[in-house]
Formats: sequence, structure tokens, C-alpha cells
Amino acid sequence: MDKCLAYYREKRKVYGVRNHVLILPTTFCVNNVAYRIWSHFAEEKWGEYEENKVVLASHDAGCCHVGFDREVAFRTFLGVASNPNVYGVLLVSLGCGQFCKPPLKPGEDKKVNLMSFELYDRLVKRGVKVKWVNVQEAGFEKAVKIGVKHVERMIKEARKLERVECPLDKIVIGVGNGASDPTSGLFANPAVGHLVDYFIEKGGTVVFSQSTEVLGAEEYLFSKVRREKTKLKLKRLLETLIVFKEGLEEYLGVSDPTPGNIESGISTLAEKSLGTVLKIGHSRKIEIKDVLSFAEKVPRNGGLYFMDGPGEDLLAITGIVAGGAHAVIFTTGLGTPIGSVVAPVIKVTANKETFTKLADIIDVYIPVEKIFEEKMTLKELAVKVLYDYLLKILSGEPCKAEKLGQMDFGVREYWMKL
Amino acid sequence: MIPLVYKINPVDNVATALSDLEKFKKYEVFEEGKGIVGEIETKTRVPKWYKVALVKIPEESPVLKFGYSIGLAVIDIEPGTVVHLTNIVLSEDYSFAELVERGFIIGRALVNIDKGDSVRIGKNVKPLHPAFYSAPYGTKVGIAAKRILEDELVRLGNIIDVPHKLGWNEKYRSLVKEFYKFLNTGVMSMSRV
Repeated sequence: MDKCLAYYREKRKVYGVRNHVLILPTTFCVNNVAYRIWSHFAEEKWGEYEENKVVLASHDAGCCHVGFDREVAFRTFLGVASNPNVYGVLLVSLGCGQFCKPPLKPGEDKKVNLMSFELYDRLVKRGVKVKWVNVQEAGFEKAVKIGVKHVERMIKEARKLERVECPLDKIVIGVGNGASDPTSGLFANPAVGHLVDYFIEKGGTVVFSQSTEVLGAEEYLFSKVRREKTKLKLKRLLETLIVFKEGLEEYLGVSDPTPGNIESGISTLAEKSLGTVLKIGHSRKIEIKDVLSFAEKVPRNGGLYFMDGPGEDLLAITGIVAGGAHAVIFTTGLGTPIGSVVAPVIKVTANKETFTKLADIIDVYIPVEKIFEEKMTLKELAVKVLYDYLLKILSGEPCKAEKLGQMDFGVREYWMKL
Repeated sequence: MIPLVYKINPVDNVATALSDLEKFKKYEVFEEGKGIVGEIETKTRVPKWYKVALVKIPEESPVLKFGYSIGLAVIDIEPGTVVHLTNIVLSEDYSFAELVERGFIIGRALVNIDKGDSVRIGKNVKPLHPAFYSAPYGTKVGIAAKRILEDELVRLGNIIDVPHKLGWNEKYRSLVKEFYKFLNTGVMSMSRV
């Protein structure tokens, strides 16, 4: 079985593994308006497993960004709203934020300036179904009313769509890790690495992020890069990171590995980083095709991609999802409920205690005792336990984070706001 | 039953303890996909998740885990001994004096240091960089060029006579002994970290 069931979006020629309707405030000022619209549909679910919902991406961005930050925030909004898992999006606009330019009126010039930050027009150009409500024009209560009407209509249309067979080479998954413990580096991450190898062999695309966590494993990373251009990009990224990180460490007196890491047996940064980086695969045949910026669109042509992003869970996941990932596989040792607003986040652990304790949070336990008792290799184990589960989730079964209603979303900031 | 010593890659020279290992006892070494590949007699206590040397790792040769180098041995590591910060470093390939000249901050003064006094790790300066966390207590990093006040950063400008290499290896030997003492009494002091 190397296919999954997904929704086909003819206009955009993409497959989505969910059929969500997204409510996205374009600035933080209208978070509450968006929330009020969302709360009308909090219980609304559709699809075979009731996996599709109205989701709300509230955040603290969209206004007063300086320079580069504005571009990053814009790319994140654009990326999440045009994620293949989204059927349609309602933009709740204030009217005066940085991305609040209203849609063109009929008869107005239809040309879209690609350098401008016109969220509505850019989404239309990408073929995304998008609706608009302006709070400064309508007022609070009326904006809620208009928004509810738009969403109702979109749900009605979304319900009509049926899942069809989807080849895996149309699917992008992300990998990440957080709240680690020694079992993450020893078992969970290498196991996900085997799954990544397998998934790419089947034609899929995989993207990983969390740049700060690869420092120390440069040798390993470069062994997976063949293209000169990618090598250069990776080198430049790592150099910047090292300078940045060492500076922070020296001035703030923080360290990596942390005292906690050291106490749990990790000696050097190389050891720590290898433990996390092995989640990107073991096969020497698979190369890192390109190094992408945060929230940049991931090419859907199979293979492995590296996206710049912080080590922090929320933003790493948001970047990957804004890049167009259908689902994320996330390893953890101590356990974290984190999810994503539009994509299923599958949590994997190799710590039995965590799995038993947090049964409602963690999706998959990798039964490492089988390595010792039945002499299974980690590879066999990973493919057996993870691959089928991944296909099930892609085909519609909600993962634990979705069942818990996690709608995590955040915008990366390099500078302070004005 | 789950074996207690887990080797990840065939080329590794260290393995991970999956449980606390007592000293002077024999444990079977399990390699992924292969089963039991041998046994190791511990020379020290090895706490859970810590690494134990499977073969003799000579000074300055790489310590291999996951099939890759995770650092260099700073002394000869005997098989069966615990492998941690006290006997490996990420890389020794640098000149310390040069780093300081380039603006590297050594640490923060713990007390007021008078002009001409020697500056020593742990004694009167708290290191800020992980490279120092494995430095033995009292490692001399230079001489105060002027009076350094408590909490002031120790760096180029207030320190002279910075050694080219810190010469940890000799001092490591004593530290390793100290470390093993901690392991044997079961008390791990991380106060300098």
C-alpha cells in the first residue's frame, strides 16, 4: 500500500490530506473577532473521521514589523493559508495593518505586484479560495456576522469534496523533535530517520528544520550534500548561526550542551546534534537537495530539503507547515502536546514511561524492547510501526494533537517590533 | 531480558549504558540487528545513558558513536571506563591565546582580582563558554593586567600572559581520578558546570 487517500484541489493541482476552513486574522488587533467567528463553528466537523474542522490561527504579528521581519511574517501567513490541507481561508482584516490591503474591486487593475504584501491578491493568484472581512468598515458585531456567513458557505462547499487516491510523491512531510530525553537520540530520532529514507524511496518529499540543533553535526550534514550551490548555501547558513550562537552563549552565559544534557550523559555538542540530526535519514544515497529560508515553499518533487528555522518547537513546525507540508512527524522524550493549525503532527517517543503516562498526547511508541528480544533492527521496527500509522493519518484518521484541538501557530521574529 | 550495554553502529568504540552499571562487573554488549557481540568488564561505575569505552581509545584519537566522531580522547581511555566530559573534548585544534585576541570572553570574575594576580578557572573566574566546562579547577588562563572587579567580564584588555594551550591533559589525569571518585560514591558534582 503506497498510496493514501486525499482531497484533490483541481484549480491548484495539489492534494490535501485535510479539508480545513482556516480563519486567519491579518493582524493581532482582530484576534478576538476571528475567535468569535471561530467559536460559532467550534463543534463543526466533517469528513469520514470527522477530521476536518474550522481552524483558527491567532498570533501576535501582522503590524509594525521592521524590514526583513515583514517579509517573514507575510511568507508565513501566505504559506499557512495556501497549505494544501486548507480548503478555503477567511481573512479577518483590521483595515490598517501591514497585510490589510483590501481585495481589488471589479474593474480595478488586476495586475498583482509580486513584491508587495497583498495577502488577498496573492492568495487568489495561487488559486486559494479566499474570503475577506474588514473590521474597520463593518464594526465588531457586523464583521463577526459577515465572517460567519462566509465560513458557513465555505463549509458547505468543502463538505462536497471526497477523498481520492493520492500517490505518495505528491506528499510532503516534515520532521522535528522537542522535549527530548536520552531515548530521543538513541532510538526515536534514528527510527524516524529510517522512516524518512523509506518514505523518500517511495517518492515522497521530506523537509526538516531546527537549524540551531544541527550545529556540531556539520560533518554528517555535508556528507549528505552533493550540489555545489546547496553546499554554499548550507555553509553560509551555518556560519551565521555559529557566530550568532557563540555570541549569545558568551554574553548570556548559556551553554550547549546544557548542564541538564551533560548530567544525562551527553558529552559534546557533536554527540547531542548527531542524536537529533539522525532523524533526517541514514541512507547515503539520499542527498539534501536544497536549503530553504524559513516558511519558503518546499518543492513537491521528492527528496530531502532543509529549511532554516529555530530549534523551538512551535516555530519550527509553523515554518515547515507554511512551506506546504501535509503532516509533521515529531519525536519527543518527555512529551509535548504541540500540534499545528492546519497539519496533523504525529508525536513519536521511544520512552515507554512517557507513552503510558501521556497516552492522550503521544501517538506512537517505538517498542525498543523488540530490538533486544526479537533482534529486530531499528529500521524494520520504524517502518513497521511508523509507516502504516503515517499513511493512516494522511488518509484521514485524526492524530492525537488534532483530537486535542491543538491549533498552534506562530510568526518568527528576528527584530523587535516598532 | 534487555541487555544493558547498547552499541549503535558497528564502527563505534563506545556503547551506551541502558541502566546503571556497577564497577568491576561483566556486561554483555548488544549491537543493533546483530545481537550480543561481546562483553565488557567495567572499570568504573557507569550511570544510565552514559557511555562506556569498548576498546582502548588512545589519546587524541576520535571517540565514535552513531558511526561518527563525537570528540577526541584527551587521555588514554581504557576499555570499561566511563566516557564523558572529563576524558573527551570536541576539538583541541585551536590556539587559546589567539581566541582571546579575537575577542573571546573567558568568563566572569567571581571575586575582585588584583592586578598581577593569576586568573584561574573556577577559583576566581566563572567560565562562560562550554569549551571550559571540562577544564580542571584552577586551570590558569592568564594574569590580570589591571584590577578586575567582581562580575566583570574577563577578556582581552584586562588579562595578559594568556597561554597558547591550556595544557589540560596533565591536569585531566587528576580530574579524571576525582571524577571517578564521584562516580564511585554516587555523587556527581556538577557545581562547576
